[in-house]
Amino acid sequence: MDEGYLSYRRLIWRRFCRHKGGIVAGGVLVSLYLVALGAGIFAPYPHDRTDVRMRHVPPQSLRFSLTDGLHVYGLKSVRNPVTSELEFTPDSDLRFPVRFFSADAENGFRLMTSEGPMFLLGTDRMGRDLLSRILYGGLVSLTVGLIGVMLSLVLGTVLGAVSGYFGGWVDHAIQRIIELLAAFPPIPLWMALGAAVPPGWSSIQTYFGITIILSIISWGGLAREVRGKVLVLREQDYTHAARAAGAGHWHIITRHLLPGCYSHIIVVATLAIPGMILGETALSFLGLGIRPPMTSWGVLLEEAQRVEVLLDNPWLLYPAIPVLFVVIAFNFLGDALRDAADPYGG
Amino acid sequence: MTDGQKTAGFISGFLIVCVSACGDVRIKDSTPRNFPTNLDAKEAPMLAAAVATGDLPPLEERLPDRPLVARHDYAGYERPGSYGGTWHAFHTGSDLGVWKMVGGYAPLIRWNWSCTGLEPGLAESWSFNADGTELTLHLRRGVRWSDGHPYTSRSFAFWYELCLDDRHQYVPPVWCLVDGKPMTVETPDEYTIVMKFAGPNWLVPLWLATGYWWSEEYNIPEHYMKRYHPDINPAYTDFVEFQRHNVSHQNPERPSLWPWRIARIEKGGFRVFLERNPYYFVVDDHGRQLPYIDRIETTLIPEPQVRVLKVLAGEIDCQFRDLDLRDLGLLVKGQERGDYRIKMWKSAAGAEPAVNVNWDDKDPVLRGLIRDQRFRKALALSVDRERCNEIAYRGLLQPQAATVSREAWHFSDPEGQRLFAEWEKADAGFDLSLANRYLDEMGLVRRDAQGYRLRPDGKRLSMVLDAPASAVALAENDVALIIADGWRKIGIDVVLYTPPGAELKLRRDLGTFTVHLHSEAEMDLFTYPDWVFPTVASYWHPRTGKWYQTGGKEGEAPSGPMIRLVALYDAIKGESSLEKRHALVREAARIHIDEGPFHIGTVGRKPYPVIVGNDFHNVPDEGILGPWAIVAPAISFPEQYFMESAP
Amino acid sequence: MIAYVIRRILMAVPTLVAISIIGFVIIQLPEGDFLDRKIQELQEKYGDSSSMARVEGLRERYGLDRPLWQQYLTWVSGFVQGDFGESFDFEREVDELIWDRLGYTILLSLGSMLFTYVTAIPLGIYSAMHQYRWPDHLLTLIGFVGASIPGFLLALALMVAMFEGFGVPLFGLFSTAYEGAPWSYGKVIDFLNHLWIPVIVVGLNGAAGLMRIMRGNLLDVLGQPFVQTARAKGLKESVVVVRHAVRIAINPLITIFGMSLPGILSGSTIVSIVLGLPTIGPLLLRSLLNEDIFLAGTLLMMFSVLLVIGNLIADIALAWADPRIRYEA
Repeated sequence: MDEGYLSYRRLIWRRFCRHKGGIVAGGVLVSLYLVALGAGIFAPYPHDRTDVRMRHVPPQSLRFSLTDGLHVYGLKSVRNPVTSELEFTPDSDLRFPVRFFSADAENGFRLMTSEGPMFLLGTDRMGRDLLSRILYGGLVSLTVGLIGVMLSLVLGTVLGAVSGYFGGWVDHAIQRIIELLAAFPPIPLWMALGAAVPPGWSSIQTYFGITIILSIISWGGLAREVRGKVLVLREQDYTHAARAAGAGHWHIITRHLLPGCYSHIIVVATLAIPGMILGETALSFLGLGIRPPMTSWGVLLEEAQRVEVLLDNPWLLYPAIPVLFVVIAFNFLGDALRDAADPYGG
Repeated sequence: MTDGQKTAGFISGFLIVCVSACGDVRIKDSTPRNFPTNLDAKEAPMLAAAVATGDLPPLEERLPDRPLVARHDYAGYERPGSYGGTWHAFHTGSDLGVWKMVGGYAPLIRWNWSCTGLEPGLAESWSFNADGTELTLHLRRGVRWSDGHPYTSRSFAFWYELCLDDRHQYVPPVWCLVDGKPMTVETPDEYTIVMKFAGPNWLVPLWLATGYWWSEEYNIPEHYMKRYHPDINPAYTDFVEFQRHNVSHQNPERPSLWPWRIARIEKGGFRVFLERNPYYFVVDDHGRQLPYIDRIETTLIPEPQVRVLKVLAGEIDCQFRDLDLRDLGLLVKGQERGDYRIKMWKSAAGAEPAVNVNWDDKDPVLRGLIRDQRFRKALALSVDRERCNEIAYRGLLQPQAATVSREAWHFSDPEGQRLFAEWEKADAGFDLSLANRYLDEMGLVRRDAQGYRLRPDGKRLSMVLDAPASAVALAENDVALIIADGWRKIGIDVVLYTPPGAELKLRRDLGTFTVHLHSEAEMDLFTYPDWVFPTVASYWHPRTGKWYQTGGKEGEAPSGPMIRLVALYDAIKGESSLEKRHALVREAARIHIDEGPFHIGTVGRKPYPVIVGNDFHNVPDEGILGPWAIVAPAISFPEQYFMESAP
Repeated sequence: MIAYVIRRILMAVPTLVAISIIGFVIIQLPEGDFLDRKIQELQEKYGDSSSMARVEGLRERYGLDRPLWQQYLTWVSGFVQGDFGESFDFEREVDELIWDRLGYTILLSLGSMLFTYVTAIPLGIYSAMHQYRWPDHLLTLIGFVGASIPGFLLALALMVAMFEGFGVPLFGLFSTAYEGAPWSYGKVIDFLNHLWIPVIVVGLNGAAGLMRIMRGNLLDVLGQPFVQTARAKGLKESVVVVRHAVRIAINPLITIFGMSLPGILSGSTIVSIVLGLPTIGPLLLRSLLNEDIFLAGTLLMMFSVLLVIGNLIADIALAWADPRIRYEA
């Protein structure tokens, strides 16, 4: 077959497509992001809807029968006299059909709802539906990772390119700053920055504060990589040619040097996102992350971090699964991109 | 070695480690716990052994002439115990406060177990002169410090000299001041203390009994401490070393009057080992010297989950505090496996938490609103207390207005109980339409685009609610969310502030908050008036309280009902009749009912699960753990708890 | 070589100084200071104004009313002489609190790194040798999973599993019986029994990543001509791999050693908090939350020094392995 000439980008795409794992991962991620963005529709309940009578309900199964279609059983509850906890059992006499694409005044337009309680992953200590919280939390966690990485990207790329291109004391200064950041223990840095978030900031503002904090710490690695690449590329003929032709520094950096780094940058960025997501869970664990009423996977896991949960209400650990999936998927994707971007590798 | 073999080797190594971990590593104190109960033995065997070898003087010389006899008028007391055993517990603060509430109470005058009055401690008797300006205390003769040195009035006098000494950090305590003038202390002989005040000062005996902290201060082992005093020992030019050695929970060498003295503190303070005080001055009904238990071992465990696991593992013999009510289910289920039982004590708290609205808020418009009773009523009526109860405490508490403890002795007679019941219900309902009406009546009818009400100055009515982060205090955080929700429903924009660390306390101290949450429990408003009377720069009256504290130099003068509350407290201090003092407190409660609420209640009366090992005896079945001024369980004489396995 | 080492050490010093300054500033960032909180505490207890006077005395003694740069200089000058100041929270000298903990932190970190390398290298080799076959896929999957679980959750889950399943409470570094006791054979075994959970949890992250890298490197090396030569010579596959390829593939891992230290130290902080281990991390967290400045500052410096030393060792090892680096600026 006569393939003719393929551009660098097409070459990469073809190599990427050969990596089945990467494609699957990419697909999974895209769908997860779509679901998260559509949390308002996919989730059966709002994320902060509390229901005092429905605390610590175990996950309810979806059942199917020819007469009732897709439905869930109702719940019977008994209060344990000693611990004062409610204990739930499914009541097969009561069946609530699942409705699709319905809107109601209380909950808005949603994909799946039901007249009766439908807690497919159980509820937490305030009677909030875990599935909905995972979806809404996913929106926060996934976007924190993405935005944080984008900020790091910009910071790291620009500073790395500047550092590599100009050399001299600029390079030295930026290198020292990167080293300093690398030598600084991350937790105190997080903590201090977390403590510096002023009072009265809403959850949204805190959310952005957290993403900025996460990105501040991690741009160094990317900057170093970009610098390395730029150091090599700046000695290439075409760079000299451009300079001889009178092109400005900025023009050279953006039009000639950076494009050579793009593939590399994308790979590093993709591999950095899981770190960001895990970083958010760690921050929330320390109490410095997302604040209520917003929720995130980190917040959900922090709430699950009790002996009581592990012994009595283990379904509250489910948020760990999407974290796992997303991190694994990003790693696969990054791997595939890395293999694809390096056409001369083995 | 092939890598297959390497892998196999690694896996088997890993398994070996796992298997060895499965061996029963838990080793409880394996000393058999069937100690001989010999009612004839008047002292512990380990002390008797020391007497036999001549290392310790005989019992008659160690006990005072008339030892204090431990009272046990509570359900849960079984019998006089046997000597022996080591009590394992944990604590959460390096100042050992939690332990001192158990075994660190050796005051001149004690609170009695029912919290209805005082009883003798190190002082056998005390009396005022006719006009309350002079208090005379007669000390128990023959009491000795843990090193054998006699305890005399010199301790108290020495302490007071330090208070008057500018170079030292102690200042005369606020309770000895009348009109700003400190008392004078005279010691006509070794066993008499005479305190002379500038005016009637009837509350002083209560202050001497309150908390473990005052008695820690005024009982200084001056025979030991004087070697660090700069006037006596020229090697020291200031009090730095003195202060360092005067801290009981850090200096095992400092002689003590406690039932168990600190024998050893592990480096860094993470574990503290206590041992019986051979000169302890309290005995049981048969004249046997207390305590029964030989040793205490308490570990610093800051992480709550680890504490739970330690209890479930059966490693704790008896623990009164620092367990979360949320873990009640787990603790109950683990009783058999952990070989312990749970006794439900209570906090007697009137508000867990109380919502303190800053009477002295620095924003003048907000302040104007807050000082309008209708505003506060509206805030109170929009707190869904039932929901708070269910969500934060599983329905175990009781919705009510913010009050002090129902068991407080000011309300003990039927009339008092009626008043208290009224106080508990004041503005404690959940009525959003009434709340909305109050705000409408106040003229706050204009709203902005999002539906929030506008203040008189046109800005959105917004309040910042300080609450601990959920990782720090989950229940309070839950309550904060519910309160915010309720207030939003009446048109107030609530911003939750949940900082990490201790910033909450700072904002409280500086009075820069608008609303914050704080639990409230108190049995005695005479010595701890702050919930009801604005006398300290804290809670809901930071700047008024500051004014009172500094004698008018800082803060803001009282306004409105505060004037009367302050006057009532001053009257209490100068009132000689106990009955009349109680009446004055009730008048203050009346002001809170009629012109309040000044602080808003949510739920109260939290149960406190107390862990008692199955071979641990004589612990009261019920008690009050909330207020710290009444030093529980120390007032039950824990030195008469003992350890013994069932035969 | 020596010149390189000395140069690297000298370069580390200004870094440490800069960290100490930044750290000191950051610690003080939240409003007020420790003693403001102490006032609040005292007021709650004593309920009177005499607490104010008490605390003012303390404030003067610790120099908290002096400007920041003066406090910093006081602390640094003491630090260099070995006087780390006093902890307000614990009310004792800082160095009473830290040395034991430093020791345990180092042991935990070394243990984790050992675990990481001991598992990752053989498994990476195995994975590379069976590339694209099912053992490779399985190990890759396990590796990813291991790298993705949040440490605190895994630590708690393991601890509770051991307790529920085997009745063994594995928090802290020692059981109650051995805690205060002097070192003995039994105590060492007890220590190891408690150490394996944190070591695994902390090391798992790094192990997963390292395994992938080892695999990648080895595959690169295996694609090279000299390996073909060795195979053509008739050498057994395992000999080819182990004796020739691995030695070369391992080199880049030495750099990673230095870079993985921050991850191990911060991972161990979180795990230590969950398991109640007496290491630096939890103490640092507590002191930062309380603005216990001298304790926090000292621990911060300890952390940084550990990191810098780790990096130094890595750089030196790399320079020893690859002579070109010695001549880089």
